[in-house]
Amino acid sequence: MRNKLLVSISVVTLMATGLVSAASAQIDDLELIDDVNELIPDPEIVVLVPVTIPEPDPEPEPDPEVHPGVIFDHSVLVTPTIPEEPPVPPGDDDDDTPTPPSLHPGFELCLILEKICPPAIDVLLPPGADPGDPGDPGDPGDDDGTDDGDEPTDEPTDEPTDEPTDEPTDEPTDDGSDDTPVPTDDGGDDEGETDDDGGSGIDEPRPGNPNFTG
Amino acid sequence: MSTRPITTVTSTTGTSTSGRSTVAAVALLLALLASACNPFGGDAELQGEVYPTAPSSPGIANLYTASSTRAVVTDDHIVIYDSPDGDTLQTLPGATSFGTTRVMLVEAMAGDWIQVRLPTRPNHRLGWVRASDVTIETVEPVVHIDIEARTLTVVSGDEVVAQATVAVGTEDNPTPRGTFYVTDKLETPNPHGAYGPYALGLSGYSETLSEFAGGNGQIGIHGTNDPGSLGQAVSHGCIRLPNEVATWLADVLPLGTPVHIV
Repeated sequence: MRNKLLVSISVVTLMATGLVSAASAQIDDLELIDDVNELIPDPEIVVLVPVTIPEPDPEPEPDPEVHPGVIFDHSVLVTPTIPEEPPVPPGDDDDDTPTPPSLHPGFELCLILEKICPPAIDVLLPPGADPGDPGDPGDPGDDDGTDDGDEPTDEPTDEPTDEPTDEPTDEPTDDGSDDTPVPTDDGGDDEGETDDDGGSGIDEPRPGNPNFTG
Repeated sequence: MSTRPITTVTSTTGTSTSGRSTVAAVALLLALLASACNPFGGDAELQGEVYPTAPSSPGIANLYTASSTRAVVTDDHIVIYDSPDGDTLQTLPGATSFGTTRVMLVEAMAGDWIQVRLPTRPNHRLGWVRASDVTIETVEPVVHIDIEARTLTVVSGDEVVAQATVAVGTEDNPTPRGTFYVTDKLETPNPHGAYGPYALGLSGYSETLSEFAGGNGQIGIHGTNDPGSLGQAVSHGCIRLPNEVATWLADVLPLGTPVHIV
């Protein structure tokens, strides 16, 4: 019984001391908190820090998504770019090596996709996968269809190539013909100068083809 | 009769081309008349070498020697009236068909009006122009052409400065007679052609040919590629003369120089 009493007393004592220490500790905490509040004037700074960090993360994500879609966009963009700028000599560029530097990179891409992508698609497709393509070499016994398939591919390629080639050729030719009458006009001015000389020069003989009664 | 250089034009505005013309005239006259004070007297040697010998000219004493006056059109056209303050006869371009400034020989002056000889058909037609539309200048040399004698004589003042034998029109296409004047001085494209190196257009027209060689029958004084025709009546109305003389006349005779054909 004594032991139980001793134990209970000790327990009570411990509890009492614990309560006292706990109370004193609470008082110290309260004092420390007050001190902290006094030392930190702007508690909002702590709040702003976590907000700015997650923002830059979503930006780089859409970039990789754009690239795979470019392939489909070019197949659509190729058609409008051809009539928009026929004077661009892209067809000549393939033949003439020095001209490409003058072209915009965008046009080069369009041209490359225009000429290279269609055959690339045919290559990628397994033979016979496109039954509507008579020019598919994989179709057995479709020899004529192979030629037909090449014709539509060559026609649009030749048309834009010929147009820009003819246009710049005609322009300098016209300019040359325009230059020709210039010296003729100058000759007329010379005659006027002769007349101008002549308030006192009217008596000077002037070139002429007489038609008098010989 | 002594010789002296020609003073071609005495302008009311002080304009004169006498300098170069005087030098040219002196040079040629020295060649023509070096040993002959009287060119009509017939230094046959000189005249025979330079120009065909001219027959005697009985009408020499009656040469027109008075100074003449020319009216130079100052605008791009000139209105011709039948009388002072009268009706309009016609309007002429300020330049001839050859592009030469329009010049007309003055016959009379009356106040602000000037009577001129018209360079149009019919021959010898007169008209009046406003003095404000022209510039008046004095022309000293005078040309006398004797059809019968087939001579051309240049007179300055009262002195004969040159004479040459010429070819004139045939009986079928005679050279018209009367007073005309120089309207054009042309350097031909072919000095060895039928007109020679120079041709002077006159204000007169053939009375038998309404057109000739694409022209309107205007008569002229010009050189020739047929020197053997000089002294004869072989032309269609023009006066042919040696190419050297044609060159000299083109140099010394101003526009408006009177040409009396008798």
